[in-house]
Amino acid sequence: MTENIILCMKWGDKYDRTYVEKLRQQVKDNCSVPYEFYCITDNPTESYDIQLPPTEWDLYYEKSTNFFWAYRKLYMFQEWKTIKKSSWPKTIKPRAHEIGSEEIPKKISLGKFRWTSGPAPVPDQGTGKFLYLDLDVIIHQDLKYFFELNMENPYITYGWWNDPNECHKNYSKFQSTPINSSIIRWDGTQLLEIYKHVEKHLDVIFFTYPTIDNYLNHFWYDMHNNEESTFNVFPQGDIYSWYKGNIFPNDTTEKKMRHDCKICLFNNSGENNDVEELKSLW
Amino acid sequence: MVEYLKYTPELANDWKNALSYTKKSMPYVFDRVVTSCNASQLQSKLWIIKELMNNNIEPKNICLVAGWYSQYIVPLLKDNFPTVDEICNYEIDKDIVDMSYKFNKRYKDNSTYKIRIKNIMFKSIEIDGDFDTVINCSCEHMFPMWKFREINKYMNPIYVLQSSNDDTHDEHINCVTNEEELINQAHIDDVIYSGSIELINGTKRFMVIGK
Repeated sequence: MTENIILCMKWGDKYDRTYVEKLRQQVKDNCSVPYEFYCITDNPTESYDIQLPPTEWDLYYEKSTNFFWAYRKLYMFQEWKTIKKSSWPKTIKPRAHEIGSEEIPKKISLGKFRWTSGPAPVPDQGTGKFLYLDLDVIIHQDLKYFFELNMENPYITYGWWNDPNECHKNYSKFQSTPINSSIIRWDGTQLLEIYKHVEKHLDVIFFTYPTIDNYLNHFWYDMHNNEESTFNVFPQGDIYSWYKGNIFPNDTTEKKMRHDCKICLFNNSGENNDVEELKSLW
Repeated sequence: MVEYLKYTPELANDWKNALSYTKKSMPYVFDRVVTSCNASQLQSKLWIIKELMNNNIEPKNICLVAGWYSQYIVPLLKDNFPTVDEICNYEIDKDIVDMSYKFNKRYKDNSTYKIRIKNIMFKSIEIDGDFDTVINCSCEHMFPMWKFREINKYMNPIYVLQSSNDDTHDEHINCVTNEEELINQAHIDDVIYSGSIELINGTKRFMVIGK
């Protein structure tokens, strides 16, 4: 089994299966090193799909706020292991939660989930090289590059297209984060600490941070001192944004293909218009 | 009754230097500094001083939670309570540090005002000192204060808590509609004072003092 693992996540119905298939095809066309492709999903239908056992995290997700909507990405950072279906929990209860407990369901029934036989894609996670890609990306260049990075630290996307002063100004407002979780690269259990941190502080984190990027920015990246950060960031020119450009302030033209970059993101798009626009560019 | 801030030459000098520094080194925070100087901010802080005095509370070592630049609360506390020894402002935003120290340079220089970058909903402040008073004028910005109490069980301070009903800002993630809610959120059993005022900006502010 190869040690290069490419992951994506399809959860809910924002993106349909064609996005996964398109990403899979793009990876096939743009990765010259051996790899295995998996999709983490709540609705497994294909052989490459992985479904995770239920966790209490869902109980802390307050749908009305739409906060922390992509928290399931963090599932990828946990220790991967096979869990027999028979040993999955029958119900999940939230831990003691004194304030607002009436808003959190006491338990969720597993009846509403459809389970597959459980994940076991990586026999030795310690040597696994993981590359996570959002579904709404366009790959321009060979993904081999990402598997050859010096992995002293894991990597996350840095929004070079943002005005850094805006990021500073809005730090405590949980807006304009400099980092972006659309593409993440890590080895083995490098990010397990993040998973454990969320697991330990579920109530505060889900209550406080509107997005996973805000959370990661506050705890695992230091925009004042990159050297002190858990995450390294992909260099300028690797990844750009369709809606925000490439590098602030000199290369911020929106909606421009940059084939000399490696990947294009469709982040910060509107709620409805990005889907068709991205499809038109595939 | 305290109805004003003492605009002393020392304060004027520190504030002038702070504003010059903003213009020169951090122009992008200028709007935030202006907001931090508004009338409602001062009104809220004067209210704290007034009720501490009314209730004969004499703070000594103060933990200031999310005190922002603290240009009002620090001099108000220092000028009105000779008992105040140290004020420690716990912030999460490193950009606060320079500006707040500029505004309060006279207290920084004599080591009676400190800023610590720490998220107090995640880490205990036990190693930082023994606080008899915890002032949090930003409860609407954070998780309910029972969590802070839970992770700082070692201490038994007087809590001075303020929150707001102003839910028009995205960062106001925990507004309340009355002082009872604030009391419940912080698990205050012994209420020394609770009340509300309408601020100049038209929003309602709530305050609870207790243990």
